[in-house]
Amino acid sequence: MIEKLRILNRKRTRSAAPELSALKSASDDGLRNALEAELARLVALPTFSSGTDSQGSIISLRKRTSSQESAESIEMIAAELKKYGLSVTMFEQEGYKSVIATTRRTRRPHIMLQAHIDVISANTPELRQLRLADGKYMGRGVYDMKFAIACYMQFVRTHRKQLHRMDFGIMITSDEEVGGFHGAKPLAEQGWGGDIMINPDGGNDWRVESQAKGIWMADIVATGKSAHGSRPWEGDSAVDHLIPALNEIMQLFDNRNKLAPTCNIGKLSAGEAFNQVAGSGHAVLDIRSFSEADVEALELRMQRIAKRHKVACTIEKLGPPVTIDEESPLVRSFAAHVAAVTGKPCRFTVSYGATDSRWFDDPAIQNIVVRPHGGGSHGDDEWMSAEDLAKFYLLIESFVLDNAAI
Amino acid sequence: MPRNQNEGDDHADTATGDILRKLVSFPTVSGDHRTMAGLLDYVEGYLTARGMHTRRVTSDGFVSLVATTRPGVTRAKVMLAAHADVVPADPAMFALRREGERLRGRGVMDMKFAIAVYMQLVDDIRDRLDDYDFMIVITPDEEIGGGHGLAAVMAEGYRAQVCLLPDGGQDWQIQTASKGYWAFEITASGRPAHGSRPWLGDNALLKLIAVLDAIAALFPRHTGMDTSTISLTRLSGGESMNQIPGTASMTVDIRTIDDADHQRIYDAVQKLCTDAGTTCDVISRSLPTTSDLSHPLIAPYVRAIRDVTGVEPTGWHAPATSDARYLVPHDIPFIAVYPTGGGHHTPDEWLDAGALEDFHVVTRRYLDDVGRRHDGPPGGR
Repeated sequence: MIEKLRILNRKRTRSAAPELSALKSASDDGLRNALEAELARLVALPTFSSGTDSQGSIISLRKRTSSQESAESIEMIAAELKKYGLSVTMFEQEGYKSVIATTRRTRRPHIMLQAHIDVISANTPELRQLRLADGKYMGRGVYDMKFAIACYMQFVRTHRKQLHRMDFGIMITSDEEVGGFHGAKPLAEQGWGGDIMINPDGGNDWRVESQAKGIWMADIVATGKSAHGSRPWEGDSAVDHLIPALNEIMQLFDNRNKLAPTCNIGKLSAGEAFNQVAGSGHAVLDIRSFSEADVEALELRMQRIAKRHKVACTIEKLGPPVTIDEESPLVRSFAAHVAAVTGKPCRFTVSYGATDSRWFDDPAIQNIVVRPHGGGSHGDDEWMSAEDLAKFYLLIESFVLDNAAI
Repeated sequence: MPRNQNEGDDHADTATGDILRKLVSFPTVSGDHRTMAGLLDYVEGYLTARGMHTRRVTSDGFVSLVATTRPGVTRAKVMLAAHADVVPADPAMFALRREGERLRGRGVMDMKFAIAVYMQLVDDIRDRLDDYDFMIVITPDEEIGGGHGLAAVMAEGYRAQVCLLPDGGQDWQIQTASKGYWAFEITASGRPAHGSRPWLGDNALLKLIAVLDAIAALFPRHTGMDTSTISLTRLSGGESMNQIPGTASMTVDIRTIDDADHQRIYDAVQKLCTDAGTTCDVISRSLPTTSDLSHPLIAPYVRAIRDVTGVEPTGWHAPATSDARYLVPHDIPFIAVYPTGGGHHTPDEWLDAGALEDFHVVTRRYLDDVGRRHDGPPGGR
């Protein structure tokens, strides 16, 4: 059935969708077994994001260190990709390793297949092994997002003799769960990317993200003067500055409105001893918005509030809002391939969260964020549809064959 | 008073001063049981060598020393109490030094001066101990609540008609009132969710802040010695900046001006917390206290201060509590008075050298006036 698909693609123009006969290969036992074996191998790799330090502030988030297992997994994948004749580049920053493998020596292949290999911790032994139950694959990372790596590796393995006739790449990082500051961000800054980058780290149930909110972090710091709890008039409680400031700042946001900028107080700490006036206080805020202009206006108001309450307010953009051009030929081609694989028209959606795609905010890059049916990311019930694993593989295969031929 | 000639700069001129120097040299920071044991060994050895009868009271690793003029008794006319634990300090502060008329070191004022005087008094009357009916109680944990020190001694059944506890007042003014105290720990629970989807979660920190605002509204804006006060002392919630916190907690330090406010505030805080769906646990408490300068067992101390120092004690209100709170439930009147000194809990703690001797004289006079066994032994065991 894969041969039939391949033949089908040679006769087709780049913008045409594959024929319905391609869908039959989703039930191909050989394909499913191969993908399942690959996914099982990847899930068993203990690529947990390290960093038990949960300070949460801008500075400490960047200071978390990589796990040894994640680094070794990247090296293992790099070695395999190199075996298939791909041009492999290793990148490392603060102990976090990334690998980029391209069919040609370029930082900007036509198509870049993106993924992260790091996962959040797995609380139970069951999560560390792939299981199949009721048509669902379960385990840590099956959905977020080792299924994608399994598909990429299977594609390279299957088409290893024709890779030199294609223009695509695979980028795998190991720090997305802790912000991507040492993986996708510096890679983007160094010019890595693609005309289209496919990142199956959002857009559930085959819905392609047309927009994603940007993310900002705000540090609010109050400094007072401690005193004995029985003599508050001799001190200056940091809480008396911090809490009123936070109350006013929260009034600037409407957290019930999904489309508006939102603000969450993620962490707050003040004081040291139960009988001492708090001499200092610190809050960390998580702000999301589809509009940078909205956040700029909010920041001005936040700074005025901070000044009035004598607290320090530092806001840093961790990732811009992301949009794609739904009418671009590449995006339309991708949508057509989604429709062919799923049997339904491709739908678009907005995202309130952020992925590593935000680092590749470039008008010349179309960032596709979409993934199949699944759920439970970061929870104990992470899962994805077993049938959809093969369908996703076919999506990648058909799209790359259709668009990356040289 | 006999005066010892000591060499070097770091000395006090009197025998009492020498005892104080020795006591200060033990860095008895609250919770350091080993160092406290060394101090108690020193004090106990001194007292027993002069005829006092001693016993140790232990509670959860904390050890107090009780010394009586007669063996086996748990009651006396006068209790001379003091705590031997101190707050942390730079190591240099654990060496007494004299700067002019000021004695400096950790604990000189809070409150090892009292222990030194008690020990010196025993030496003064060592040949006539049988004429007196008093006990000395040295405790190890006042700075961290006293729950295993004086509280444990009282639980063992030790009682007195009056207690001298020089851990309050100021500059010879006897404490006549102290505020009550509540320390609450309040915890809120919410519903965690991803930070990008706040509408799916329920932020525990926001709940806690709302409760704090409501509690703060129970208190006057202007605060001072004459009002009940609130301080938020600790607050924490959230583990990751991109998550909605599922739990958050805070501690509040409340001081109450009188019995009525004490109960009113407790009831109001409990109701606010219950209505908000938060838990409220009491982590420490004490009732407001009062002392009457005209009490027949306190008035003699007032006279002694007046006669020795020339200061007329008129009363003093304390914002904080001390181990005296453990005497109140047993209706034991107490005398809380500091001689001249200051800088408690700071690097500048000091005691007037002359005031140390004055305190010695005042307390001796008081003991002669109130602490003698005029009519035979007290109530026995």
